[in-house]
Amino acid sequence: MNRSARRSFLKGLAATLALPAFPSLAAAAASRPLQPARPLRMAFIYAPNGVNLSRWLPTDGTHLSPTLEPLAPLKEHFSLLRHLNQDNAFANGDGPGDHARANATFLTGVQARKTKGSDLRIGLSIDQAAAAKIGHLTRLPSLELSTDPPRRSGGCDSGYSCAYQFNLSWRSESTPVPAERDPRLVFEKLFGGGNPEQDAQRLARRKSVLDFVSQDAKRMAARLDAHDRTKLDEYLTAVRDVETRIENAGKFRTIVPEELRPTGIPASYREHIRAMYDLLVLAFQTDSTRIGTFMLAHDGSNRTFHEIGVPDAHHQLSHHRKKPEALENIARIDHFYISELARFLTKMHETRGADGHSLLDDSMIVYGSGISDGDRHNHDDLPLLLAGHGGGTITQGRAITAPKDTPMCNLYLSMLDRIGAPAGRFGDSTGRLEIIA
Amino acid sequence: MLAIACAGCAGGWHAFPWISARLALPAAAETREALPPPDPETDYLASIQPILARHCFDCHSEGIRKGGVEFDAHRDLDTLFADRDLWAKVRDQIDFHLMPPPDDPQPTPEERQALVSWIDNRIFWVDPANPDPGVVTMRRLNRAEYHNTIRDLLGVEIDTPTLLPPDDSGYGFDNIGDVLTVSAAHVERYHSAAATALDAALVAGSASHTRLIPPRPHGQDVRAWATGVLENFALRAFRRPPETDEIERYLGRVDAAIERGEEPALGLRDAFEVMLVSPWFLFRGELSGKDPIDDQVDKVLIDEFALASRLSYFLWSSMPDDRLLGLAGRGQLRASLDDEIARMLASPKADALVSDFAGQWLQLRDVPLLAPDLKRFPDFDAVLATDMRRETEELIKLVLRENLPVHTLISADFTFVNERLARHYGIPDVHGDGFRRVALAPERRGILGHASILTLTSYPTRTSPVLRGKYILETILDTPPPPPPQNIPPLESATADAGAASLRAELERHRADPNCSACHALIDPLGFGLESFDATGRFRASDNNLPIDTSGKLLDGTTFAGPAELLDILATGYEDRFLHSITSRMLTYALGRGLTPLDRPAIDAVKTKARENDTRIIPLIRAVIHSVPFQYRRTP
Repeated sequence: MNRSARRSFLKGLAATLALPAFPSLAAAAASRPLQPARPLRMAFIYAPNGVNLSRWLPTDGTHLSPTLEPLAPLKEHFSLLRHLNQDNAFANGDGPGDHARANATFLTGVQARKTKGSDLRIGLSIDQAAAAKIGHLTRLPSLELSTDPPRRSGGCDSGYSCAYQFNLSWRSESTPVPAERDPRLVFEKLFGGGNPEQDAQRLARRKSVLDFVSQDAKRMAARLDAHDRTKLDEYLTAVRDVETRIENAGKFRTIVPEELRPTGIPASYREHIRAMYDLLVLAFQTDSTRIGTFMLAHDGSNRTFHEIGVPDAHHQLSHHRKKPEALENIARIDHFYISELARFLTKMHETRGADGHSLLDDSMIVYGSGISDGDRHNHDDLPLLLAGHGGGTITQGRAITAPKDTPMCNLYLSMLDRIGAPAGRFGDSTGRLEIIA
Repeated sequence: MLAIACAGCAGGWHAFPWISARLALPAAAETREALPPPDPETDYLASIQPILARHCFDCHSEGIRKGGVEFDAHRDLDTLFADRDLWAKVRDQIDFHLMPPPDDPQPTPEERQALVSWIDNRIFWVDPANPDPGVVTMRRLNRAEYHNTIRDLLGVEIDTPTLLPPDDSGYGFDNIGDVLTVSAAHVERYHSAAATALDAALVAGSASHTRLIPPRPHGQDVRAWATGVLENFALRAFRRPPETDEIERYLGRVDAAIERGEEPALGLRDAFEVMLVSPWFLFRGELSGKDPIDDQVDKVLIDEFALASRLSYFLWSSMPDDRLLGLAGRGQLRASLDDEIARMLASPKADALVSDFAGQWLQLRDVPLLAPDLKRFPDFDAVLATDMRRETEELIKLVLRENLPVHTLISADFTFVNERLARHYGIPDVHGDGFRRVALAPERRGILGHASILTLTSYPTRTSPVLRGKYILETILDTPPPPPPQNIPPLESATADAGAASLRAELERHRADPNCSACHALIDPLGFGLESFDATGRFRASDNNLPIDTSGKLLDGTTFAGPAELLDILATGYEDRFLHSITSRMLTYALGRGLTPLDRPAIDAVKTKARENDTRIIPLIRAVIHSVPFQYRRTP
């Protein structure tokens, strides 16, 4: 079946199945105790440009492969996901721009409106959907991390605004959530500047300042054209979000692990990645937030990997045209990323939360790319891993093979159930992915 | 009748009843009343459709929509004519000889010209007496603008890249109103940045402290003094005169401080802190134009304070200075606009045009991020990258300083180097860190011979004729080639050590594929002509011990033997196209929005003014500032 035919078929399927099932799905979620008693964490880690599939995919029916070899000691704690798609990352009539779409669709499941800027529109991302429901239970509703280098100037991918290609997380259909790349600032966001008294004063001042400027914004709105008032709405939403954070900061106290305070951005990419993973563990361990996203690099990234002897630019390399040398170098990059993932998961496994359980036991970690094979720019059967036991609701240690062409958003729906933010549908979901149970 | 109108198309249009319905109705002329005076239909049926039918419809009608282009998918002719995206695409394909594919019969030059003129004059017709200024979304200060504004407002430099989140860009620039979104992270960081900047500026006894909070004259009432301080600060921070009740509100913060038993100056600092997080400061809000100044009901001249801001953020990436605010306050800014433009361009603050406009247009901002493979290019390092960027910036600054014709950027037979860069180029007798002007050998002309651009358009391990050709088309000629077809891998292989000769052979072999040839026959030759320069911009006569073939043939048939001839062809034969490129990019940057076909009159007006002045840069900048979209707002 060609793509557009399959797409309309899927749409038809969604229409026939999802619509009548709508209310009962929510009921099912309520009757079936998917959400464990203990709080869960969820994280989404994005690696760009697809993978070398011949090394990524296992050949022996297990969930281990040459690229995934660093995860062997953790094999009971993760699974390989097969046949999950982000169909809205395909062109679907919008022409080229697969890198922008891969990035934009990964956590939203929505087709990005093709615009260089005048009318951005995508959808709420999965992490923000969860944060909207359970974000108030922790000091920070969510944490957005990145190790992408400073942004390049000029145009982005094939007629798409750079906003699509450089952000994973979207607070609304037109407002991205910028990720933080400086470990020191992430630490400060989590634990303050090091002087609790000053921090409290600053937050009190901030509250007073924001009360005042909300009034400014309302006065300003009266003086502007309607077109500009939408910008002020965006501003006011942001102000309200900060006010909520300030309230929560007062509610949740935490011990500051001062000895772990980072000094800045490490020079080596590997160390930078490790610093960010460590902060994610720390954020979960201290229950500062339960939701994280981490963009290792944006899709289409042309980062070079001198530290593992790959001088080529990643995106250029991903167009391997089946040349062995290029494929070999892609596999080395994949292996590099997986090694760091293994280090993170090991730490999650070894770290106990406040309730004494392993963090990994009580987590759901999605790792992967929005492109499958960089040479084909395809967004079906994405290279994805799911780690963590979801508080005992996920059976790990296997290859989880969904029916062909299952929307990745079905996984997201099942994750939302578990974290306590159930939804009727998300992105292009057609149901839940309960084979993870 | 239909058969005549559609000569050459195989009867498929018979299936579209709207054509016969339309032609059968003489009263159709009535519906034309609402349309602009030129009538697209008459010319279309008589002279345009036959050309399209001969050369285009085979692949772009009757359900065949190669490249997403189809001429007969529209409900009726009006809908077809209203599809401006389609016609913009068609225009460029025809104008730049991208279509029909090279192996197909080609339209005559007259036919191409007829198509382009018809599209320009009919589809994109705008009443020159009443051009549309378009809509600019209120712009948030981006990082560079925030940095400079704090510098000019408070007199301190802060570490903005650390303090503020990065900005997203659109249309190639990071000052586009629609793309400058605001999240909670922004609000938090703006507040922290404001506090940091005020801490630095209000060090007791410092010059900035004295300027922002002058000592209270003996005997003056505290509130009267504070009111004056606040009025002055608000005028500069909000870039417009504050209103009385507005100042009253801020004065409340000072009163509160006094009530708490604090120094009044602390209350003023608190009020400043609030103002720096206020949307009036963070956004460039332009007040709604409720009173049209002239009789044109759909647009109004922006007020002089808005003009002062547009001017200063365009030329300085910063707030208007006291002189601009003073002129606006007296309503004299428009009257003295050209003098002010000259004054502003002479200021060191105009370096922002180089770092922010040219830095993004030519992508010079990315030069420090370049990472050539050090095994292959051992003399490359961060210092050399800085020198490379500096060379190009020096040329742009010279063009601005001496008001040179814009084509100097691609035709200059001289450049600026220091010892390191001279060694990189093989230019003898240049010593020291300082940059000086040197004459160039004929193979290097303008920025396309600069190491900055040549490295930017290479891969870390080797040159890329495709990337270089694409850069010339997009950036220099403003003719972005269409993106490659879906799921067809790029022509170039990823292998590092192919060598120039085998690379060229590989590219030429793949161009045999008609899917690729239409565009790559345009892109690749431009890159081949620059193959004398390696991936860091050094001259080379051979690669992998094989001689390099730098000859090529452009789509218009012009041939060249190497970089000297290619660069000469670009500088002389494509001078007007380069003028178009800098004009459209500069308008985009100055307006903070993407251009639409409705902006064509503005582009044409700027180009005309520039041509009347030998295409010198300052008249061009002046014409951008005098253009309708810069001077007006569309009324809601």
